[in-house]
Amino acid sequence: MFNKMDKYLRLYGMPLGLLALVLLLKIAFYDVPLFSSRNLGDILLENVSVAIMALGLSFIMISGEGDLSFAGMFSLLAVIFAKVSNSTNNFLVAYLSVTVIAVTVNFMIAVLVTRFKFSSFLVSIAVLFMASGAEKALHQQTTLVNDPTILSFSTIKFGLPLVVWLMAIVYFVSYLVINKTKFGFSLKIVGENNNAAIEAGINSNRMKISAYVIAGLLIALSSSIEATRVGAIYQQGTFYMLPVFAACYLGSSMFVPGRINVIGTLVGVLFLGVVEKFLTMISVQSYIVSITQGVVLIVSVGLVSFKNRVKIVQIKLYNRG
Amino acid sequence: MANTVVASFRGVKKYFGATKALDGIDLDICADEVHAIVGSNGAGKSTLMKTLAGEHVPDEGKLYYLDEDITGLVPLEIQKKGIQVVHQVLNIVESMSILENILLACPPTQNGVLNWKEGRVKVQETLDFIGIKFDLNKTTGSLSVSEQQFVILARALVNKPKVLVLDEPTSRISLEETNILFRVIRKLKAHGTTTIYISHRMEEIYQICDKISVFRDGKLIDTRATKDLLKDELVTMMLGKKLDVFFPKTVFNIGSDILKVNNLQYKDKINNVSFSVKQGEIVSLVGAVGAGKTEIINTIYGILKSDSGEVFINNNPVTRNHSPSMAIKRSIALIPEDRASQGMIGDYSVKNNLTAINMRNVAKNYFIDPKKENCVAQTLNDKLNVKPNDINYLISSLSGGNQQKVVIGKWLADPYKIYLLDEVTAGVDIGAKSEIYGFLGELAKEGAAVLLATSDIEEAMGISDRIIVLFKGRIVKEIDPRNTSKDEVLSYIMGGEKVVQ
Repeated sequence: MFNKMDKYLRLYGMPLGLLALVLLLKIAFYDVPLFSSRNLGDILLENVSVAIMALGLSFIMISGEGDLSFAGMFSLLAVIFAKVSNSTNNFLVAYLSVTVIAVTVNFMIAVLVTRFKFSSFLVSIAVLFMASGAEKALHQQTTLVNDPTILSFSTIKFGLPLVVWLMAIVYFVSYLVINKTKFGFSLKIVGENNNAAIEAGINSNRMKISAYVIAGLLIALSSSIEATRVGAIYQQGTFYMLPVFAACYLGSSMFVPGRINVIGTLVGVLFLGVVEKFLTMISVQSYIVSITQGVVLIVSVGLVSFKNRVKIVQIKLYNRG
Repeated sequence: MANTVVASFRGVKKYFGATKALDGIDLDICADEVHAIVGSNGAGKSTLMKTLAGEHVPDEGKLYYLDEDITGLVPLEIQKKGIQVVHQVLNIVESMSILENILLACPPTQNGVLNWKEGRVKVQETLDFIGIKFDLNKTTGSLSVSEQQFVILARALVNKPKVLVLDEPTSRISLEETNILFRVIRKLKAHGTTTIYISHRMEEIYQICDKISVFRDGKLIDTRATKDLLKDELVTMMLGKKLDVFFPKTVFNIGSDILKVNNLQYKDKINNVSFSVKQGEIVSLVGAVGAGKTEIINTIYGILKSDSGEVFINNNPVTRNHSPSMAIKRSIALIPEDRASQGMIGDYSVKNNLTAINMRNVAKNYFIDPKKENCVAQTLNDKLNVKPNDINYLISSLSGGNQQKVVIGKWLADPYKIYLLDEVTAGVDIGAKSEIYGFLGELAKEGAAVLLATSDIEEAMGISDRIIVLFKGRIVKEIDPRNTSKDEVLSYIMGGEKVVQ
């Protein structure tokens, strides 16, 4: 009985704790209409890009690698999207071109990381700065998406903005892929124990490359949405870097403790979104938001390593041979 | 012997750079037998099995499985044909359940969707065959190492292989569990599965194997039926020379108590343990996995903090701020259980490993003096007879036995009063074992107290002056190895007689 409770606490304690924290905020600041339906819709809408980007990073992290390049690629792709859609007046062409670029770049990162054993941290940070350099070069004049059909994507359908539904679908499909297919199963094995993957006959390089390619697809989607939603973009990706990482790590402290997982990432994004909204509503300085997100990242990293610490010591003691 | 041949090697050669890991191996493995592969570390046993598993492709020669050429197939194809290898390293995925871990290579799918229900039946059958019970939903990270070993075994057996390779399967499991494993091997034999068994433990090989193939320096020396091969002859074949003294048993002048432990308590691992070790004495702590040997050693060295109880060194009580660095100052040396992660620095040379403990020996005015360093390391290296005799060699590229000699050697530069050794001969071949026993004898002769934690009963009986048997963190019995038998020690280890001291 106690064991069972302990187990559920390990799996669901964190999301319940977060919920309690949010309710506490709500009670303490009862005059702030945090949960008005308008605000809830806004929170979702404002976090669609972050959520999809965090999902892409989750795929890479599940495969046992890491990535920072998204922070630079995000705004570069959004600018390219705006330029192409303005000159062709066809958002599909724009979306396809950013997808091709994102997938190609991520594929190249993946090849360097897997085939040539480059550090994913260094390769992706290099790509981050290259992308943000390229973005500055493209920013000769302000880019704004001026196609009215595109800007209508934020319209409400079935009670929520269209892009929020899109995000929900992407998350649902990803959840199925990770948890219900052999591909997802193999990806998790590769990420956690590469030798076990080799023994099980899984081509780990191919799995990792697939994860990067999926992340490429997702970041292209994410930045296209951002471009249609915001209209003007300048170095936006770097502002999203922290919430994306914090969401993934926060997510890894729940449901499957110590492991990045799809639902955890979504909960992480939403929690950070609620906190950010709250902080803007009580009109604190914007730097407070960054500091809060940083604290969340450190606390969640701490929680994950604390939970796993006992286990790590055990492995060290017994993994001889 | 009219048995059909299931797997055969024909002139298999494998090179790693300039070293010949396998030098023209011709070997037939027959159906329905348990075939032992023995040899010193670096003799080519593991390389041969990795070749069979498809992880290495031979540079020359062919492999056959039931007269079918399987040379160059990838591991998964070979597994599908019916050859399964249980490696020495347990590659489990900790966050996943036992069920998922057992079906790692072959998750059952239905229309592309994982179907664990179907797999559950298959896994349960396998576990029943092994005769072990698991809650299939439990995560493997929460299992003990020996339970993990059985998960890996189940993973290999779930697809009913024709050939099963077990690489040192008993190094982590207790005696009872070894018996379970042997029952499984016999059952497999009755079901027509051939087992290839790799082990350093002679008793096990004689207990379970029908045939023995001896390897040395990448060559197959001979294959014989177990009953026609005497132990002494086997050892001679493995080493290529006669082993004169395996246990250099000598009794020295035993002095006064130098290490004394009083009512030591640590969680549920150490339970009211008291004993002492005298100058010039070798004392063995024996017991099953989880009996508390490592914990006692680590408490004395200051890695673990005891809950209560006292440790005296030279009649001086050890204070609460005891730590490994204090332990070294108090003249305690530790050769830890996990050589690779605790005993050595793998990316460093033999020289740097040997001089790591007391750098003052090799320093001149706060700076390391390369001449002194070379001189100290070379002297130790010669004394230890490390092969190859090159102090600039990376320690991780040495064989297990030679690595262990270096790990011990770094404590020989200065005389220490107390030597704590934890499973000092685990994964060490018989030649190096004998040399290590020689070093321990010398230490005792020079008046050091040696405390040895071991799960090898023969070792404990061969070299120690006293044996302390532990069961679940408690001292069950203190035995004089001269007046006892292996079976008696064994019965105490299993907790047979619960007489305290």
